Amino acid sequence: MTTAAIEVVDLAYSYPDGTEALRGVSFSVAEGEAVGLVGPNGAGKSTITWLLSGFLTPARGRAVIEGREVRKATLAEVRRRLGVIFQNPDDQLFMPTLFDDVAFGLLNLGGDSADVEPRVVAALRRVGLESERNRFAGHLSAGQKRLAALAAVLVVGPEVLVLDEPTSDLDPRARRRFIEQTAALSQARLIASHDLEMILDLCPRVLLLDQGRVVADGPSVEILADASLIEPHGLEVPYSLRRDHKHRFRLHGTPHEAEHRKWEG
Amino acid sequence: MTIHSARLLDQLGYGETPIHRLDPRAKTLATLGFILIVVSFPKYDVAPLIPLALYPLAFMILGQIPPGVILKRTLAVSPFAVLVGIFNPLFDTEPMVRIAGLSISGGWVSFASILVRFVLTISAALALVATTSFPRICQGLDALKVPRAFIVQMLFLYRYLFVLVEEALRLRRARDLRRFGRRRGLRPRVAASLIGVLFLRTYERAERVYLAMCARGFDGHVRLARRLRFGWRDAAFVTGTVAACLILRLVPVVHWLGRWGESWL
Amino acid sequence: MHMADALLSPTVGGGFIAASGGLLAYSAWRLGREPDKRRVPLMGVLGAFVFAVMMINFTIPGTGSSGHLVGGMLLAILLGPYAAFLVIASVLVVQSLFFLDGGILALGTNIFNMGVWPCFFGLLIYRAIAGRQSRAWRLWLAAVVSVVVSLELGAVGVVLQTLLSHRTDLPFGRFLALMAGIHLPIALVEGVITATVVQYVRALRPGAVGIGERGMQAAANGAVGGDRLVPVLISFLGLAILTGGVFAQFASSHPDGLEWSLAQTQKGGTDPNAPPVPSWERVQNRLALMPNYDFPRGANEPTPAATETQSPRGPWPEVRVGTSLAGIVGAVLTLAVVCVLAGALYWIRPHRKASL
Repeated sequence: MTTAAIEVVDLAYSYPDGTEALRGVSFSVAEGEAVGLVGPNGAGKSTITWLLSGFLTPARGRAVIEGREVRKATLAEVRRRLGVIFQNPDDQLFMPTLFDDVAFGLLNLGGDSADVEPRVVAALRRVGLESERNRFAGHLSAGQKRLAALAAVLVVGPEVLVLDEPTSDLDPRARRRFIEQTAALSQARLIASHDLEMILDLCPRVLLLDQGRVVADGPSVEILADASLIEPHGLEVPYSLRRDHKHRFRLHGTPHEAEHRKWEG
Repeated sequence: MTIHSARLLDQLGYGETPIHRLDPRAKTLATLGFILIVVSFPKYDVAPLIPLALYPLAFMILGQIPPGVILKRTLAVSPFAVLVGIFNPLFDTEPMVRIAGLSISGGWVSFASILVRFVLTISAALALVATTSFPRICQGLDALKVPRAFIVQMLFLYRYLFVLVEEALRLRRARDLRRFGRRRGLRPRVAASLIGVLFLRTYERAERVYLAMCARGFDGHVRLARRLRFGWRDAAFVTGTVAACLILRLVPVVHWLGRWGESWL
Repeated sequence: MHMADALLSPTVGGGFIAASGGLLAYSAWRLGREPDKRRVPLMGVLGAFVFAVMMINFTIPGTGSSGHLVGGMLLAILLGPYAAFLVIASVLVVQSLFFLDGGILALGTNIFNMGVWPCFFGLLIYRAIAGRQSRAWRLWLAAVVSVVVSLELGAVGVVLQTLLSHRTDLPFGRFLALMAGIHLPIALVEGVITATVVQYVRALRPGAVGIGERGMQAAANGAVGGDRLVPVLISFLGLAILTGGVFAQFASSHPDGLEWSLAQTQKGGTDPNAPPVPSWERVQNRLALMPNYDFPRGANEPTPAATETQSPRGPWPEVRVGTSLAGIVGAVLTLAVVCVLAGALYWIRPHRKASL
């Protein structure tokens, strides 16, 4: 059996104040597979991210990245193979220029200034930010920052990616660009998000998480279209999957209802 | 100086003129040399300082800095110099110059000298910042063997300066809105609680940045990419500037000019 | 409290750059001896925090951001002396460059006035009063006292540096009283705020105060050279004052060595045996029939040479411009030349289309 990119077995974690964030979660993500991670706030999505990157130590169970268990001893190795895109790109772009941010990971791996430069430029070119290489990170737009963070993470060549709310704060165009970039990647991807339309766009498979447990694990369309399954867990069916235009009922009685009916034909 | 003007100054530093492209070491050393020479003039020298205005002027013109930028800021901070210098005429009343029967005390002469020095040193500093982005200045200082820990500190400060200031302004505005236009300024107790909140957010941000750094392989050592190249232009700039200033300092050019002019009258 | 370059002499300015630079290097070295990964982003972000705090201005009349450095003592308490010193220094650099609070040469004096006192003296005082317990009143007293002492010492520093530079005529006593007086209420308020924040932070996040306390404990135990620091500091201070004082004294009552030789030159203009540059002599002779000093044109004027030698400003009048019509004319002509040159620069400047 080929090694899964991500293998999580009975992972559990409780915060110092006693809250049980995860109560035994198991799943796996295959090489190159894109899996969505959805659920209400507090479900444990971010906790999984921290556990996978080794910032938290599980109370029980284990997380395995590319065949290596995530432990204090293996942190360096794991982090070389795992790229994490955090929720706030300002936290990830901490160097004076974009070039420096992307070069950061490479230099930490022991790269020499000489062969770092072409790789940095290539990574920036892939996300379309080559011309901004000398820009101060703080001067970029939200969309550019997200792409920059992506480049900074991709440049060291990770095999697995975990993304935490990657499309929040993005305007439609930036969001579209980001989705396209992510879709073109070949790494295994675990994407935690509230943006269900994006999940549908990018992930054939989705994990529904609530109260620290995996409630459902299967094809995205099947799960997300099932109102009776997802609504008790704080989600609602994305508009693109609705066959009966339920949202018209929200407009019911408002002046907009007539407009909408006209448009629908 | 408001944060707004600071931001503008910051933006200017990222321009693309030949002055901008000079090595930051050259510009920093030249500016420092300039300032040292300016303040080395005797207490009562006024006119000999005038030709030195060419240094900041050259920067402004060749660096395409809008003159208003320098003028406004110099004016804005000048009250301080006036406030301190105004005591000179009050205490030094012995006449020093006689012009057309009018007797001017030494105090006024030294006051004028202070003002001229002030304008020169402030505009030189402004010129430096407006033609060199802060990261480049730090890069130059790093190449000049300033302790790396300090350089890194300044770079991180700069990176999060505007971010945190924005946050603070938002907090303050939110608080202001709830005070319904009562007098400006906050009571110390209120200010302290805002500061406390800000501090916690700051601390948490620092944590997140730390995690992001670790996720990209941070081992305690911040490595900076790219070397600066010191070319003949830069060498010429520094030596030329310092030489010119030294000449103006040691050779009574203005005096000679005056005598020559006098001989025509 | 931020010094401006215009008020400094090169020796005082340079001396303090050396002193502050030395302490900076020492602090960086000490930090390197106790590496702590977490510290790197924290210090940077806290530096930015200082600016953010300034946005939350409280009603102390007439200070603004130029009043003093808000939070210096707080940083020292939270980060320990060496880290805090670096942070304060970095804040001052950014203040100088972006906000024009203090000159570039004056960075040496400013870092000394606003960094050294809280980090290396105020902190000792704080620790001494607050002790190991977190009893509220002790913490408050410690914070207020240490802040007041640090700020007042900083104010004294400003006065001394201004005095030693000999560019102003401010009477020492009154200036000192003014500075010390102004900073007292500021210090009291800041002390209270510092205490409040430390308490707040301690209550919610005990770990946040930990880094500083570790450093403080090390200093307290005299470990790792902690007790060697104070003597080093005192010698630095002594050196800076000595340098500034001695040289400044010399510089004010006698012209610089170079200036002196220049004056000598002009005086001996017609003497073929006069040492210096012959070209100057030639120029001298070509110009008016004026020998040594500048006399105002009026023939009935008492020769300034007589009055000037008696001037309290010293035996050598500044032979330069200020003393005569030639000076004024010179100034005007120089201005004209400068304008012409500036115009020329404007003409030759690289023409670029406005980008973006």
